[in-house]
Amino acid sequence: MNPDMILDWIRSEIQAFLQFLEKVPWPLIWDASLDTMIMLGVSLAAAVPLGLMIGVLVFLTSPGQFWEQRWVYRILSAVINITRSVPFIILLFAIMPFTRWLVGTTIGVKGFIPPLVLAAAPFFARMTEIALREVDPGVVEAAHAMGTPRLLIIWRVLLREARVGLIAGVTLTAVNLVSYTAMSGVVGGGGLGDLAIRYGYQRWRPDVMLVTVVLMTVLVQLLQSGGDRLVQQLSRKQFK
Amino acid sequence: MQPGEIFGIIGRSGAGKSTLLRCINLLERPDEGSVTVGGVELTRLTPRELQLQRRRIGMVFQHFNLLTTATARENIAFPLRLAKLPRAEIRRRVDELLDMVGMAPHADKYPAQLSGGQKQRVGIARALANRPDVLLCDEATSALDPETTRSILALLQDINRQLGVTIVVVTHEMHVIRAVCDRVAVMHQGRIVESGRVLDLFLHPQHPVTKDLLRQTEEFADDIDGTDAPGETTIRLYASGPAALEPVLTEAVRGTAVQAAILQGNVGKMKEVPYARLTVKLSGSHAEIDAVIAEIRGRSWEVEEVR
Repeated sequence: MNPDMILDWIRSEIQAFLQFLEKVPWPLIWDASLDTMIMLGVSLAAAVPLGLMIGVLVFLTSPGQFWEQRWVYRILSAVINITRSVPFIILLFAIMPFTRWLVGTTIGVKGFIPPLVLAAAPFFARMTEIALREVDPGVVEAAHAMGTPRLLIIWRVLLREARVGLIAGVTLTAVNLVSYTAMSGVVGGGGLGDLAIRYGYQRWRPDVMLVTVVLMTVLVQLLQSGGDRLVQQLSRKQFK
Repeated sequence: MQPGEIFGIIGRSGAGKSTLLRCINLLERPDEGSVTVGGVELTRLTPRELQLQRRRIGMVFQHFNLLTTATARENIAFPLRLAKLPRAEIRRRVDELLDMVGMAPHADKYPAQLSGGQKQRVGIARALANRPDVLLCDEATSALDPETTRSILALLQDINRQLGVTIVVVTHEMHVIRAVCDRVAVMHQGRIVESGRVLDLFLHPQHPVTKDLLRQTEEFADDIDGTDAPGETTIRLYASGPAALEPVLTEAVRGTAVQAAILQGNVGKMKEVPYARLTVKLSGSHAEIDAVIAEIRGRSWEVEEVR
């Protein structure tokens, strides 16, 4: 085999690959990407504040904290555990009456967002609680000693000191959400995952499968590295 | 406690000294009784009123408890922002405080970039930001090396002198008490077992716990017992103030046949007050020894026989 033959072979393979990609329905891919971004963006925007509030509440009502309320803590904690232990695909169907009541429909991108939020918020609440537990209680005590009102302790001490853990939690929640969005097809929701199933699998289009998988991988990578970079920047000085 | 003094609370770990300190700003609420600071009975206040009163009481912690996400400057500004001071005013006051604790060159560093002593300086500046009347120090030097401890103690004394702030120091180290305190309380199992002027406590401790604590400081350890042969008496002598500097022992034995041997003792100054504390073996006749002791007592020294 001489080098020219190898080059020719590589060339033909590349051409075959390009031909393979030629038939990719790019407008469909584009629409699906957009749907995925919308589902991800909207559900993250709703789940983060909601989860943050629940997480703060769980943390502050837990034993030894300043809103200690045993029953509130236990109930909230149980609710978080239950929603987290139901597989997303089941949760999706189980809460349909609630979804219909909330947004008027159970299908399409719109009908898919409430279950996404309901799955992501408890997860982020738990992440928030863990991040808050990492805050040095001594700093909170110092804030009390300085006569800091409780709301300011939450805002200027707890959430501030926990910010690195919180950002890591948002990143993890977003990555989880990307994989949840893949199940939107079952309610006609659209998005990259839906495309992969309907075209890539059911219509046997390996080109579509490849492109959607690559795109989702890239999306997750971007989310993760973006979050990591932010964490790194913030913790550089905080932890030396 | 008196306004403007430095008051020490000492005891072994678990004696309840930190709890007592934390009762002063009600971080810990006493089961019974009341807490009054600067004429205000804190135990009667609403939570909101208590928050305002706490701004009049600064607190310094063993582990500094600074915000790790904020620079030295931002940490010191924290209580000022709570007091809703205008921005320019905060900046001015923070600069002033940074200067006072000698941290101006490190104003924009984060706690992780500072040494223990530097962190404590920031902690002290933060505690002083709202010009408190009282400064509570909870084992403020216990996490620091001896040299840094000295510099932090010197800073506390400066602050006490310059600003007239009443300082309450909780520690398990006798040398801290000795270096800065005017008066001290000794705690044991949740109770104050002895209290008074620091010098008095060092010169003649009453309670066994106090004596035990004094063994930490070598020169105040009493380890010589009176194992006297016939014709010998061992005594301890104390004096504080100008009398401590006089040659009392020499003058007392002059003209008698009594021999005096110093077995143990020290002479020095504690917060500028001279003191002397000696363990002496006298040998001679009974009558003459009694006369010598009487002579020493006559010169405002205290004498105690050791048996």
